[in-house]
Amino acid sequence: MSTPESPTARPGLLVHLSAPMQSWGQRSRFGERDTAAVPTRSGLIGLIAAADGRPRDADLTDLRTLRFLIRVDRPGSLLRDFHTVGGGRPNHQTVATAEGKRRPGDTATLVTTRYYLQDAAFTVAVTTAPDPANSTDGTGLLAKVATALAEPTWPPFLGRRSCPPEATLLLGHHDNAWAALMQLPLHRALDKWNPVVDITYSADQPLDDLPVPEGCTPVGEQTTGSITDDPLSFAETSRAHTRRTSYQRVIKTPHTVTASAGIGTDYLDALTKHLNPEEAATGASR
Amino acid sequence: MSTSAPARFLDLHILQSVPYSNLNRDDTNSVKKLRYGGVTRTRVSSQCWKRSIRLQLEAAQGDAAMRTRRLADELRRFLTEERGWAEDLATRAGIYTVVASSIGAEPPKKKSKDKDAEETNLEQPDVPWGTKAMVYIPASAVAELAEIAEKHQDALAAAADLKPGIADKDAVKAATAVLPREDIDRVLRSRNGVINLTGRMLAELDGAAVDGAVQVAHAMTTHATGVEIDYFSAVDDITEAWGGTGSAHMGRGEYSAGTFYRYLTVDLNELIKNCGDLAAARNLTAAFVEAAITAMPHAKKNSTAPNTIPDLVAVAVRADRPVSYASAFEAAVPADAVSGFAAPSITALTTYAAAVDKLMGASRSPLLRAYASITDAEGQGLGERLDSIDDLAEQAVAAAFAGRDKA
Repeated sequence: MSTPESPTARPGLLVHLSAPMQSWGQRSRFGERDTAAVPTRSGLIGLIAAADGRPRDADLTDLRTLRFLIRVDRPGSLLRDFHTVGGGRPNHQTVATAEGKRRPGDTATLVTTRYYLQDAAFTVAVTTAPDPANSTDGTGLLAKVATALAEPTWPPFLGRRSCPPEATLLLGHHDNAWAALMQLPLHRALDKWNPVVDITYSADQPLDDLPVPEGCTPVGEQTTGSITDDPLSFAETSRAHTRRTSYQRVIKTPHTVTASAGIGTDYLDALTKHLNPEEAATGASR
Repeated sequence: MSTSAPARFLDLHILQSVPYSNLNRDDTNSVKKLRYGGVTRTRVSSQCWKRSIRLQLEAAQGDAAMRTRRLADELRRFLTEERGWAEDLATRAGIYTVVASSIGAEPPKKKSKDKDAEETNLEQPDVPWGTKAMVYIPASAVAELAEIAEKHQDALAAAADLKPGIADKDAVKAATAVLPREDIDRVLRSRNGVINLTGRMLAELDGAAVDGAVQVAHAMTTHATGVEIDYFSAVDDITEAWGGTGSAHMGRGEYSAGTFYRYLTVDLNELIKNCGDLAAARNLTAAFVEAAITAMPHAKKNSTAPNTIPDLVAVAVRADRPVSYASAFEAAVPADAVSGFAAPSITALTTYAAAVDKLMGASRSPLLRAYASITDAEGQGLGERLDSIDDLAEQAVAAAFAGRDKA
């Protein structure tokens, strides 16, 4: 990309991804099911496509113009889960071998190892890529995504069906989604002894014009990486992803800029106040 | 969202105290764990609890499902034992059925390293041909496939055995000349309640895949837990009778106790689509709610008897999206000196549910919200208190299907 992107406002949605467990598979094959450290493009586009009621073989062209800036509220940690299939069933009900036979008793159980991110929280600014091919500004697409997330066709999940999201999935539309993201309360407990936190931002586009708020300082340079997670198709018989560049920046953020709002109900209350300042001012409560 | 919007999701929130037990362990026999809100909890995986629910549901409905690659084998057994067929014809019928199906089948592979012995084995295969993929079908499908074989019994009797060396396309040609592929595929596509609820993957047969209509989260304690290591020894009666010391066996087990939060949701549109019948979907929803509330994983049941019932069950019938309340416990619940974890967990759930309603706004409030509890705790944020779990299940299902019955 040679054209410098203007540091002007990017309209977009804020989406919060938080649950006891998430799993964003990247290279899973057979018995080892891994997870990336932050949500993948294929995971996010899949979440939106399913919410929009698109079957696995549906066209993803429009959703592939979506761009995601991910703020790591809490990185979480890796959880290894031991999963078995076929144990404790009568022999004729266990999983058969390729020869159509049964395994001997001591190996009748199939084992997979599944990795999850536990205790993680992410906030995502969903925007659209500037599209020189036509004059649309992505407003219609973002509205469609918002409707899908608010009233999803299929129940949303964070990478695996056993990982339902919290109530805070869709936080709303903002004219300047990147700036709004940087002001949104952090989903983490305040450490009184260390009220300045290093927050990682990860994106599928350069972060040179990240609107770093006053009082915050970038830590080091922007780093780039490469990940094969841009989905071409989710169809069972022709699932395909392409490689893309990932960009990261770390911003040292004092508590005074982006309040560490706490966890659980405290976070929800702080978020509600932040999103509805007028209502909070009138003291409306139950 | 108007109140006339049809319900689309039925959420179940369950708080359940479980005593010293190990409902679900990992490869080191340790209790499964989870770090959440900065502290370690006890976890029971979704697949573990879902399996208990599925088994209870199958038993209650008398409608089991079966996962197998040995359909040919099972057909042979059924035809000989239930229909009095001769062994060799029943074997042929089993092999012809799986080869004629769209799933396809493969001959048994060599068993021993001795090449001569192998060939004699293959002449009279002990293990009939396995299907190319595992099928997941109602157990009743075997009898239906036997019906098809009976209908074509004369043709089967006149046909030749498929030898293991036969080319795949020749085998398929021979089998489909005797048994109609469409009839067999129709049976393999058939479903029952459990398949409609939990889904099926079967790429080989068009129209056979079923997306599951229920979503189950991993259960976790609402509070920090530790793992208790139980060191044990087994007395040797003879050693003891002789006045000796020492035990016959020593070992250790790992256990934990706590109040769990469990979350499950039913996608009503998907279930109705899977069932293709409103009444069946309604009955299945009621059966699932019942099983979800009462089924228990039973690992180490004989040494811990962890047969509890929930402290509280709350339902939310929603028209917009399913909502987990797991975050109510992101900040770990502290124990109450009098009631332990149950009462403070109910309070935390209630407070959180009210906060969710505030964030989502009145237009997105649930169509029905109600709860039943064995404690006296009041749960304003959880809606109306009902007397029993039966009442709760009945009202939840009624609200979930309200307005659809006329359609």
